[in-house]
Amino acid sequence: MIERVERNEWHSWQEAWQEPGEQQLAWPAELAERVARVKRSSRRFGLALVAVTAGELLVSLATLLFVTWYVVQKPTPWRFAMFALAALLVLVAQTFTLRNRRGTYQPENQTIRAFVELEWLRAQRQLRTIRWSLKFFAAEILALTALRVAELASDPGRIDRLPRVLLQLTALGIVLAGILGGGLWLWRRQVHRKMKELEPLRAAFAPQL
Amino acid sequence: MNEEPAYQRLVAENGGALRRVAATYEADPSRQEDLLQEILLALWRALPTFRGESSERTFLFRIAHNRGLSHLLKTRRTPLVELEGLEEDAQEDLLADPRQDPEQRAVEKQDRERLLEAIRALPLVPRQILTLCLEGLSHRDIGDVLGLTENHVAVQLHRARHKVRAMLESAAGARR
Repeated sequence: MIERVERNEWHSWQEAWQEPGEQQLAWPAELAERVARVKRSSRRFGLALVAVTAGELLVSLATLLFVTWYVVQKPTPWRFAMFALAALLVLVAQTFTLRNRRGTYQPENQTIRAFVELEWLRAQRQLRTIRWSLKFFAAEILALTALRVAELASDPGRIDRLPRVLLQLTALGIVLAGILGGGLWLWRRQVHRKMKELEPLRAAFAPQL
Repeated sequence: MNEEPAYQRLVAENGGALRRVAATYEADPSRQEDLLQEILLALWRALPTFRGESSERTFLFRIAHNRGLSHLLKTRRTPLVELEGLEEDAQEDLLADPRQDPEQRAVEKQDRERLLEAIRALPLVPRQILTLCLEGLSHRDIGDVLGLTENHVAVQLHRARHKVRAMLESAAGARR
């Protein structure tokens, strides 16, 4: 008796849920337009991905070109040292970016449980990027300052410029740290919020993990 | 390889189901439409990777629910249920479809909205399980979509049905 009631109930839910006729009525007319829209969006998405990757590479390339130009203008040992530093920083940044992205791209057709875990991994990698960016920025500023100080200190004719250069570099460091820190703080908040929402989902799949 | 005919067929056969998936993640009609478009785009991009390891429907529902989940994480809000808006939609549908008895159609529409409202109130995993079951997927296929065992699906489904029944009964009680 209970089974029959439950079967009837389920049947009525299914009927209400699937609402016969809806699919056949709406879709054929929309289909061509839908497919065209999807194809347009797909092209835009592909172009955006290419643009982001190309943009990242261009920034690195522009940095190296600028430092090369700086060395060519007046090829001193200190300028060569500056070039080596810039090249090293670009190499470190690119290596980190590539390593940090590893494993975060998966096709969309995976199970929801795997997708939740992937989203969790992406959030963790974003937090890692935030922490790393702060350290990288501090290392950049310190290395640049050290190099400039050593360059000026080695030249008795220019040592009097040292306090002014130090002041300039400190001011630049503070301004950039403020901008970067603010942006990273907002990003970190966003990532934490996302992780907070993923936690119960991971727990729901936990007996299976 | 040209995927377009396969894509068109898949969307034509499962358009209603995809629309219903979008409705369980988003109550606002215009955002629902955006989500549906995102699902269709994800499907288009993923279709070349389909190798037949799972059934087409399993493949399709995985993509749809993954997109739905991304949508929830992006918008960071539980879908609101706007009953007033839905009732307006129901009125429009009554005018649009002359083949059915308007009163009968209104009752059916209300039943559907109440069910949808109760389903949206469920936590995400039971909600996904219940809606996949309502789409006619077996416990095994649901397990394949979600990455859960059949037993786990059965237990969660039982609890979800119990909760939805309780919500529908309490809504019916409140109307009396």
